[in-house]
Amino acid sequence: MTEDPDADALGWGEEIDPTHAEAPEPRPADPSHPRLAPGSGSLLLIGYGVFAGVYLLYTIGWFAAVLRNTVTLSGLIPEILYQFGEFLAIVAPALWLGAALLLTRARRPIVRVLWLLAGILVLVPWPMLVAK
Amino acid sequence: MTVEPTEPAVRAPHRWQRIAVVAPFAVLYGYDLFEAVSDTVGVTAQIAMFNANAVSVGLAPVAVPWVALVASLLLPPVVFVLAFWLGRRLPLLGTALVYLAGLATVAAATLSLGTLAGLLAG
Repeated sequence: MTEDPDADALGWGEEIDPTHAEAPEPRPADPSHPRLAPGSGSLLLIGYGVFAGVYLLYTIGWFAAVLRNTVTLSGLIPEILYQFGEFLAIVAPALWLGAALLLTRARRPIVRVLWLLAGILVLVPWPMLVAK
Repeated sequence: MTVEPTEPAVRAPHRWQRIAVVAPFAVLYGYDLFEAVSDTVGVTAQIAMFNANAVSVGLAPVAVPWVALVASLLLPPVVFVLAFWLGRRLPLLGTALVYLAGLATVAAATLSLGTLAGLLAG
């Protein structure tokens, strides 16, 4: 932009403006940073969205299971720790998601996807799915 | 002009700091193991008593859900070792997150195993 906004309308922008017909070609991608195949980025994004949805459903499932659970233990400390365990079960999907994203930051997307898949297998809210 | 040595942006946590983070989790994982042991003892004793009565009145005896009991015994130590291995190079907050996620996984999987054991026993 120039100092005078009216003057902008009279120019074609900077030389490096990619919309400028005579602008230099964009630099080729750095070969030391392998890029994903075109389209796989948005596919991954959709995949992560699906994973996030399943993990959210699991959280709701565990919440429902804990509401339905009528187990009480004798003794204050065991009861407190049992209820803490129930609370942990509710937040387990969110914690797994966080830990998986943290542990696979610098890894390939497939490693992250495998971790998220493992969480879906391990954290199925069986107490909610199985009718008593 | 001398340049003052600058501190690195993220310092590696001291050994005692790491121990301070891991120790409370070790206690909680240990409690989970204790709970699994007392469950195993309690469930086998209860089923033995039930079976003794069931046989005397002509009912079919109930099998002990050994798979679920052994799995719930293995869960806390195995997940603790996994958390230790995965979190050993992370900063303290990341280490804590990994141990907490492991503890939550043990809690959820133990509840699931209890349900599945009941399902298998019919």
